Amino acid sequence: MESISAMKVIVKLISMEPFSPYGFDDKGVGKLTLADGADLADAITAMKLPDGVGESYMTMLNDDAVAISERVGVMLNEGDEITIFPAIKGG
Amino acid sequence: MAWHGVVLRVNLTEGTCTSEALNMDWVKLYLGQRGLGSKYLSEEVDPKVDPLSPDNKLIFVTGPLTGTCASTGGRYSVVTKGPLTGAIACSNSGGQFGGEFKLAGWDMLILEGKSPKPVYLTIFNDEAQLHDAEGFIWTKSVWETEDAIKQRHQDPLIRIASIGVSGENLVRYACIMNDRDRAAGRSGVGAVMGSKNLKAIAARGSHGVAVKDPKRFLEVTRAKRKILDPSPARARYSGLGTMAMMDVTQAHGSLPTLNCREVQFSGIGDVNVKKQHTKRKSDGVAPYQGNKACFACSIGCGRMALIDPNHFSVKDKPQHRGVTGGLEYESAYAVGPMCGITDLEAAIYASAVCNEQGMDPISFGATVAAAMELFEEGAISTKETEGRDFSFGNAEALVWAAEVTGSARGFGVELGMGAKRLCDKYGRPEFAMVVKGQEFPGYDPRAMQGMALGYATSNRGACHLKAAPFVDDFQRIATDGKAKIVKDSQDYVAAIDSSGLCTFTKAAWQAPDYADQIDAACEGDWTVERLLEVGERIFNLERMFNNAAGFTAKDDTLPDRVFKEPAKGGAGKGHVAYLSKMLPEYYELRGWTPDGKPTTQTLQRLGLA
Repeated sequence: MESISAMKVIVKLISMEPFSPYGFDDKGVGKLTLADGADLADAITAMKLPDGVGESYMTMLNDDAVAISERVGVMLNEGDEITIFPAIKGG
Repeated sequence: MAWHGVVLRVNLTEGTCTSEALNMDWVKLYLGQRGLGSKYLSEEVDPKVDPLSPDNKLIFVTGPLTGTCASTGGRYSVVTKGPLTGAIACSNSGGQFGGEFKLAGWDMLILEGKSPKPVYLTIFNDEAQLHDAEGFIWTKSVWETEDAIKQRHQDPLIRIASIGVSGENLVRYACIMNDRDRAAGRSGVGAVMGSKNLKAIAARGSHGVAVKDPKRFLEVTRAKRKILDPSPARARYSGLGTMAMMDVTQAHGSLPTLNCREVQFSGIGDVNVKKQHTKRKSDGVAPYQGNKACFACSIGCGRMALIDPNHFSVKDKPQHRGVTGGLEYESAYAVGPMCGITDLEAAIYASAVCNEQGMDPISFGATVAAAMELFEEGAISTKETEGRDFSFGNAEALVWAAEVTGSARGFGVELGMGAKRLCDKYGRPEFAMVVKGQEFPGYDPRAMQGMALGYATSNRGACHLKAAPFVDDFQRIATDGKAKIVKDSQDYVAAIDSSGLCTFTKAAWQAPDYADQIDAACEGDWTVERLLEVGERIFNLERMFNNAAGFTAKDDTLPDRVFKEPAKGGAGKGHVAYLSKMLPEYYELRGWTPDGKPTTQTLQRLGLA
């Protein structure tokens, strides 16, 4: 039987309250388990963000901004850190 | 329709109040608020005028949707030549005053000349009258002024726009405050009011605002609320408020910190929104106390706060012991990370003093940050700061600075000049984080290239509200395509700023949502295309005013620091602001010459020639 290996990435949710997935701490930080070979788009889909598709949210991978249109094909590795935040502005 | 067709003109030199017809031809071309006010200013004021002289004029102007039931339909603008920048100033405020002024039966107020003695103006429906302010509210705070006028005229529902002592003292970034903690905040419009010896404007109205097609207007505005009210954007503004932004800019690496030496703040956890929502150990109460909404607004983003009664800043200050206007992101960034402050109570207090005395907390905080760097670099000493350590992070110094600036005492006079004049005076102009003399809001341009271009080309100096490159900036550190994003959003925002609605709505509404509401209220066909053309016309008109005032392409720039010192962390790590890569394309898209002047063809196309 073929086994599917998995990896864990760290997800930081910024200013996303009250959205708080199970297992995330009160700082909005949690771990997400993905199949090996998953890309950033897979991670965003797995997060089931409030808008349903993740297009209302900005993402950074290990401190680098990644455009919404470029998430597909941005491959993830064990221990990667994904930051997710809404597109907001001050006033 | 949507207009009363009436302008109130007050000659303060002569002490006269007269009504005149609103120029409806200009309404068709400039819509209202920012656009209409800019047109009147351009026609009536020499762009080279000294902003604090009687020859400058101060224009309060509503939009077609101000005073209506359209969500957020309570905005008004104050347009003048700004004393902080020398450029055209347009400061936009919410609260209740704008709607009340419109309901009193007026579309616009033009203040000209200078009163020989301090006065205040009452506008009770059709009756406008000047009253002596000396011995009554002159030298009083914004809060005392509001209370005194309501008491004297025996009406708690009078809405008041006033200056605090900082406006009287001609602090270059004095605000015009209304409803205690809402402000026409930027560029020093309050100093212009102070220079005219006008303390306050009190409005009370019982007229309605007639719209073109009342049934359709109700249907359209109701439909637009069904878009806005359930939107995630509204939930965010209401739930966490603009303060949610601080954690975002921190994560992204675009949070101006320590006078832009840094782009992330190590003390973020002490001043962010979570801290504001957390109960204090000292009294078991959270600083955040609830929300406050403006006229007709269904968002309600305004924060209310309670300062820790045990905090040193409020000792013997009973006026600061109740619930007060809390930190919004822009004020919080300025009196927090920009100054290295981790004492949240001190930051809230400093912001509250800005409300009480009528100062722009963005410019105030950024000026204090510049002074802190001057102190650390030895350009100023304890001689200026009356013996206190003025290093970054000193909360006591921030509190002291807030108190002496508005009241123009000692070093406060110099802090009241703004960062540019302060740093010029002490021979270190490179420490002034300004564009055209106006201090940065809360976005570092090294990680946000669109914002870099937006700051540099904003007609009122550094501003985060006159362009909207946020979504693209947060996705990529790049310069390609930014010129178009900035240009298009500047025109779009100029139109919204002229409508009577709040720019925050654009997080949920698209251009057709504004056009539909304006079209239901106003005569003529208001399409998206027309709205955007009006926005472009307004932006170019402002530019023409500035060019005539002496501004050139050389002023479309940023402080050397963001060109020469790369960002130390976040998404923009290693990057500087690449303005020169974007500016030529921006000028071309605008239809401007390489030296930043609208071409004849552009002016003819927009009806400005």
